[in-house]
Amino acid sequence: MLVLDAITRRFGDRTALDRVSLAVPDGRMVGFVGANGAGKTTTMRIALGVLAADSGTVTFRGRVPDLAVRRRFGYMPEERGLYPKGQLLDQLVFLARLHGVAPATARRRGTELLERLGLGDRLKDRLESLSLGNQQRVQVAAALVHDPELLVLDEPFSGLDPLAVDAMAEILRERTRAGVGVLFSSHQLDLVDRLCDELVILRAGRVVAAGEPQGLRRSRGGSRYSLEVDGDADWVRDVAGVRVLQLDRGSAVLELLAPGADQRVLAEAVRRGPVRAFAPVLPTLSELFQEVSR
Amino acid sequence: MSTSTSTAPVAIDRDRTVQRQWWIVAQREISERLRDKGFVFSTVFLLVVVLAAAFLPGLLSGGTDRYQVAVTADTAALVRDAPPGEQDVAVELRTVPDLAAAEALVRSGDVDAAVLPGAGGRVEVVGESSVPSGLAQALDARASAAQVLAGFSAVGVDPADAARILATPPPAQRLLDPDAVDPVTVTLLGFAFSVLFFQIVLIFGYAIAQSVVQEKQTRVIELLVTTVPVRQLLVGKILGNGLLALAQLALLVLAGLAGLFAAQRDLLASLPSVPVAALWFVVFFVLGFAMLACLWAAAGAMASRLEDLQSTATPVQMLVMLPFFASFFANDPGTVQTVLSYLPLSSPMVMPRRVLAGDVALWEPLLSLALIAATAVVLVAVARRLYENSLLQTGRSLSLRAAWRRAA
Repeated sequence: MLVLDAITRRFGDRTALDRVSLAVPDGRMVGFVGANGAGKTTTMRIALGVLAADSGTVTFRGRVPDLAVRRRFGYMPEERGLYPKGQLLDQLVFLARLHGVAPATARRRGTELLERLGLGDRLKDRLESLSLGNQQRVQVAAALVHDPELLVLDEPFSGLDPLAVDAMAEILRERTRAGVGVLFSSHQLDLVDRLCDELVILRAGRVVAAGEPQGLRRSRGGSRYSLEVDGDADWVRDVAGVRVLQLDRGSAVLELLAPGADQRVLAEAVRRGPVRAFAPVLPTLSELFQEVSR
Repeated sequence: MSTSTSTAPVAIDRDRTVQRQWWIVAQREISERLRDKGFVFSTVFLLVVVLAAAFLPGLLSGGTDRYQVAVTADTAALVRDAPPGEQDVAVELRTVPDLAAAEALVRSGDVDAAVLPGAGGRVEVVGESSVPSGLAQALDARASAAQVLAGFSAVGVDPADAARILATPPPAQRLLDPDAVDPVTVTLLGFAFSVLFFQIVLIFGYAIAQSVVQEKQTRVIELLVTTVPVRQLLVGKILGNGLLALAQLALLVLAGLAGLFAAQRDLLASLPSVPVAALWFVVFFVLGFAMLACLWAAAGAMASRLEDLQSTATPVQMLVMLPFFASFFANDPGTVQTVLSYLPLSSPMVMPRRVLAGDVALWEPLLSLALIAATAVVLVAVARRLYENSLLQTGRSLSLRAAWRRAA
C-alpha cells in the first residue's frame, strides 16, 4: 500500500498541496480526480520522489521508499517523455535495464508488451514515426516494462481511441488482479466511474472526498429522492421539509430537508393514488464532482 | 511477484543495477552517437585532414623527382651520364631528330625540358615557361662534367684519370647542433594538437549538452530520475561521450603518427619527441576533457529547449575558444608559452607543444596535469550543482545565478 500522509507543498507563496492524504492499497485501482491545477500532478510527482514535499510523508508498505524501492514503481508522467529518435524496443529495453531488469528479460518483456499493444510489427521503428495515439501506447509500455509493484499514471487515457482505452483498462485490471496498486488521474469521469475501486477528489490542493464511489454517492446524495405517481404530483410542494428540484406532472425529484420527510411524502402519495416509483437518487460522478468542487 | 500475463516474474537485482546504471546510460550515449551520421562524417573528415597533413608534404617535396628531357643526337652525350653525387633526380632522355621536334614536345608538355645545340656552339636548356630548378641543376652538373671530361680528353689526359678527378667527393656537411628541431615543424605539429583538442572538445561538448537538453525537452528526464540518481546520469553521459572522444582522438593521433612514419620518416628521425609528445597530448586531453565535460552538461541542463542551448553554452564555449586562440600566440618558446602551458584551460594545447620542442623536464607536464586535475575538481563540483539544480526545471532556461541558487 502506498500512503501519502498530510503532504504539503508550496511553490513560492502559493500552496499547491495542503495536507493531502491518500492511500493506494495493493490490488486496488484508485482514480484521482480534480480540476486543472488542483494539484494531481504535483501529488503524483511527490509520490514518486521526483519532487520533494515541504512536509508530510510518503510510505510504501510501511516504509519511506528509497530509490531502490521507487525503482519498482511504474510511472507515466503527464508530459509524455521518450526519445523521439529512438527505436521502440531499444527505448523499452533501456528503461527496463535502468530499473534493474536483465537485458534478455528486458528485451522479451518489451517485445511482449508492444505486441499486446498492437505494435508488434514496429519494434524497430522510431518513436517519432508513430501516430500520437501509438506513441501513447509505447508510453504505457514504458511504465509497465519492468513489471512494477505500483503504478502511478498521470492521465493515462488522454489521447487514446476507444479501442486503446479498452486495451489499457484491461491491462490495468490485470495488474490489479496481480496485486499491483494503481493510482491514475483522469478527466474522463465516466471512465473513472467504470474502472476505479476507490476515488480521491482533489480541489485546490485539498482532498475533498475519498472512498469507494458507491459509498461516496450515497453519503453525498442520500437526501435526494425521485417520485413517480399516476396523475399530477403538484401536491408535494406542500409537504413539510421537502424542496422540489424538478416536477413534470407525475414525476418529481425532491430534496428532503428534514428527517422523516420521506415517509410523509410516501404516505401522502399512497393516499392520493397508485405510486409507481419512490427511490433515493444517487448523483452521477460528475454531479458529485461538481458538488464537491464548488 | 506473480502476474497473469505469460511473462515470467522479472528478477530485479537491485544492488547490481545501482552500481551499473551509469554504464547503461553510457552505452546508450555511445550507440546513439555511433548511429549519428554527423558524428561519423566528422570523424572521417578529421581523419582525412590528419592523413593529408601527414602525407601531402612528403608527396609534394620528398622522394625522387622524375623528369623527361628531349635531346638531339648532338646533345645526348652531354647529359646522358649522371655525375657522382647526383641525388633525388631521375632523368629520362628522349632522342628526337631535330630542334623543331624537341620544341614541339616541350610545348605539348610531354617533356619537362629539352637540351639543344644553340647559337655559337653553346648548348641551351629549353623549357616552356620555366625549367624545374631541380632538373636545371642536374642538367647543369651533367653538362659541366661532360664538358670537363671532353676538355681533359682534348689535352691528352687519360679518361680514367679524369674520371678519378671528377669523382672527388663534394664538401660534406657537418652540423654543430644536429638535434636542434626545425621550428616550423614544431609549430605546425603544435597547431595540430591545438586544433584536435579544440575540435574534439567542441564536438563532444555540444553532444553532451544536446543530449542533456533533449532529455529535458522530451521530458524523458522525468522518467529517468525515478530510477537513476542524477549523479549517475551525469557520470554516464560524460563517460559515454568521453570514451568516444578518446577513441576518436586516439584514432586520429595514431593515424597521424602512422602517416608520418610512412611518408616522412626523416622528419620523425629528426624529431624523436613526436611520439612522446603525442602520448602526453592524449593524457592532457583526457584530463582536459573531464574538466570541461561537466560544464557542457550543466549548460545543457540550464537550457530548456535546444534553441536555448546557444545562449547557455556560450560561457563554456568561451572557455574553450579563448585558450585556443591564445595558444596561437604561443608559437615561440618564451614567457607567454610557459605561462599558457600551466594555465589549466590552455595547457592541454600548449604543454604537448613544449614537450615536442624538447625543452621541458619531466616534472613540468606532471605539474601542469596536477593543475588541471585540481581545476577539474572545482569545475566539476560547480557544474554538478548547476546540473542537478536545473535538470527538472523544464519551464524556461535558467540564468547562472538562478541555477546556482535554486537548491541553496
